[in-house]
Amino acid sequence: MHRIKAVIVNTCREAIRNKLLYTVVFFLIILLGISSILGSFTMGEVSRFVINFGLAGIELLGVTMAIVTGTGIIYNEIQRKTIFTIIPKPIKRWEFILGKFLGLSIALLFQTILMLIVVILFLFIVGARVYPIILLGGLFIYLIIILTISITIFFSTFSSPILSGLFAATIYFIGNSLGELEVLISRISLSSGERLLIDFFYIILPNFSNLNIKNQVVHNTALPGGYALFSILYAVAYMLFMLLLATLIFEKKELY
Amino acid sequence: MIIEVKNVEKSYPTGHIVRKKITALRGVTFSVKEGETFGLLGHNGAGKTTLLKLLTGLIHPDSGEVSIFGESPSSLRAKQKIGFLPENPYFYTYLTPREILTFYGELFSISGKDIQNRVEDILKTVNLSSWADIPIKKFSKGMIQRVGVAQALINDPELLILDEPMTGLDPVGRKELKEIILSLKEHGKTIIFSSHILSDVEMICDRVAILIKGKIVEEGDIESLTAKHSTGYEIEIPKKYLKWVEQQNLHFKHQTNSLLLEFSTREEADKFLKELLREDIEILSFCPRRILLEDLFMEGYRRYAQD
Repeated sequence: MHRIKAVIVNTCREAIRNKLLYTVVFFLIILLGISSILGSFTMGEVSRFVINFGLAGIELLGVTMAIVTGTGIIYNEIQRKTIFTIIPKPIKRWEFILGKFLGLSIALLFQTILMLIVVILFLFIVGARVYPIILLGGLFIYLIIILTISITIFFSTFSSPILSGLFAATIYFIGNSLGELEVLISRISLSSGERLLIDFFYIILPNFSNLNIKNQVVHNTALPGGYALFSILYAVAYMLFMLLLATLIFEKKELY
Repeated sequence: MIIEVKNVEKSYPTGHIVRKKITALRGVTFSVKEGETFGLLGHNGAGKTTLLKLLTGLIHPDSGEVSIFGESPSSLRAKQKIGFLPENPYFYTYLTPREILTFYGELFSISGKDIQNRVEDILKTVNLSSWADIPIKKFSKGMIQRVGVAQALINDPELLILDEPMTGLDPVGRKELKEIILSLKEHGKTIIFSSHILSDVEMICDRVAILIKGKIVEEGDIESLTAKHSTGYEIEIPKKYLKWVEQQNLHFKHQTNSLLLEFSTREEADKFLKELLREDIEILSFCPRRILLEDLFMEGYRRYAQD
């Protein structure tokens, strides 16, 4: 545990020293900027707008940071040769991957919490009501962010940051559209082969739309029974699967 | 045995579109005993770094066996006793030497006061105490090399693996590092290090292996290796006898203050020795002609590099 903790602390420190928290300041400035146009809206509209915009902003900045930082997290260690002094130390390769994942996840947890606090304070300032479901919204966004981290770490074990970034971003966008895609496909007739192919992609791609509960948060409507638990378990299972694949590749990797 | 390498072959792929394989090691076999200082000599691209990476679990052999302390190089028990300095080490540039050493110490599960004390001691050993809290990005190559040496010592290792440790160091740094290595040697540590600087190897090592194009072409202790390849005898006399020597139809070399007379057999040398005594010529030394490690290396290189 000592060893994983050391990697976690170091990864967090790297993320913070790489000015990760500047994104929070950037987010605050954008939010303050849009406040100037809120004067003409009714209170209900203001509340919906701030929640919608705020949560979307937290997700977008979080996912961007996950992709930008996560893609280089293993690849750069090899390219910059910092790994040559780490792997010969008594640490298992899976411990290194896990430490890197947890380190970046913790750093982005701070970022998410800070941005959520900014949104909640903003709602208080404009006099809107704050419902507890916003916290669940924050948790689901955080799940999207760490799921993205696990996907980028997986790609980072075998491809360059640019390619990893492209793959991860594509998967994020497709994964977000899977819900709509399912509805669309149900309306057209497909051959059994086409159906099989679509089902295959539906299963292997992460279903980010399961984790998108912004509408429920904006309208303060309860989630269907068991939905939250299923979505959380789904995200955790997919994350573990990605980390397992990353570990299997990294275990065999020759560090020239 | 601390290190045992048996018949190891290693090749690695190169190129992006057309993949080719480059053979880095061909049937390498050697072993290192406890307390020994073992030098790996070789030209650039000879396979030294590949061999050391195999010993540290960074890469795996295609065939053959590698064991450290009787275990696989990837085993945590073996890694716990190893200190490794890679060639041109790189570190997280946003960290300071103190943070880096603490991080590496924690990987060895050293914690609390122990790690603080250990870090302070090592910073002193490598002369970095006054730079302990300055980020590495401001460091020169030589200073980074010192950090590299420090991280290799953080666990007080039983086995030190050093890949080109003198690279990037100025003469003062090199002298200090040699002193550190010699002091570790005195404390009974086992050391294996690669270099192409022959004088360093000659000064520090008990035994050497000469690696050429991925193959060990010579292995043994320096004394016997150079003696094995020695041919003939040498008599050294003062330079003032130059005129006399020139009249004798002899092979000889000019030294700074002396002349080195060369003989291919002991009989020839003995015969001439009597002549010198008869002429009352001062004899500075008389010994078998020793070839230097450098000559041995060059001879091996000429012999095998053409293959």
